[in-house]
Amino acid sequence: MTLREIVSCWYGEIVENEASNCMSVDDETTIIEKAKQGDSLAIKRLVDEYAPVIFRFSYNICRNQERAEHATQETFLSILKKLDQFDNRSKFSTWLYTIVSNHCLMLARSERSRRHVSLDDDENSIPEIAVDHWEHDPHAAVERSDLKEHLDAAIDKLAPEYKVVFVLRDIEGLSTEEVSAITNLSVAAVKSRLHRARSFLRSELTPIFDEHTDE
Amino acid sequence: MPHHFANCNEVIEFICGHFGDDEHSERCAELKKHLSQCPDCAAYCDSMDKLIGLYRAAAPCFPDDARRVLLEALGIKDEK
Repeated sequence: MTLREIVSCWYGEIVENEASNCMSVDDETTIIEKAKQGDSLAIKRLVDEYAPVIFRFSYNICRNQERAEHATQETFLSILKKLDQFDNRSKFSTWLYTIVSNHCLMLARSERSRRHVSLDDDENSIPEIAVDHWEHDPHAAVERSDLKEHLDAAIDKLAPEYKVVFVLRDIEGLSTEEVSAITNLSVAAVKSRLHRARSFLRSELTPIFDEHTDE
Repeated sequence: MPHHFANCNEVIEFICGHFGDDEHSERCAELKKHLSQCPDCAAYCDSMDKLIGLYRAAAPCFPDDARRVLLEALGIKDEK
């Protein structure tokens, strides 16, 4: 097996889907139908079930609590406006991610002052992997504000189109096909962006991890 | 709570699970063999796991105040 094939494994499936919610599908369908009728208890149930997911996703894109709260609110207002258009053909969570992804992308594009690194989006051109060993435990690392700052700075440099793919796939744990449906990209384009985002973040953070490993 | 892989073996089992293969399948065996013999791939898998763990661990929970403001914006009374 070659390194490239191993990387393909990573493209395929790597993290479990943590976006799945506690509601059964039947419960969810009933609640959505009630919410469409304006039932406030049903709407509140949707808020309690999905606002934390939307907030976490938004935060992971913008890395700013206030903007994430704003994006969550805007997303829910859109959801309630468009709820009649939801026809159960896709999973509700997929539909939600589509709306919140679009909000986050719009928000990011409106911030024209930000400069993001340019990552070549050629699907057929996969960058070679730089291999460095990271010895640091991420749970311990995040306690260190300097590491969190470095992570935020690295994420901030990543173009939002790449960030959305990385967060949906690796952080939220959706399948490549779901990410493709949400972002309206081909599966090949999702894989390409994912790999570039991973490689970029990894290369940005490697010196920091190395530095702390040497301590 | 977000899942965090304890080690490369867990990662391998997970990859195999998502292939639809059991961990004794030919493909999983090949993957395990390669990772056990290839420090570069093992290091890559390990660092990706750490990157994802770090990214996830740095996200805060949805604040109660934000929930209250959201319900108000939606015109919903918060009767617990």
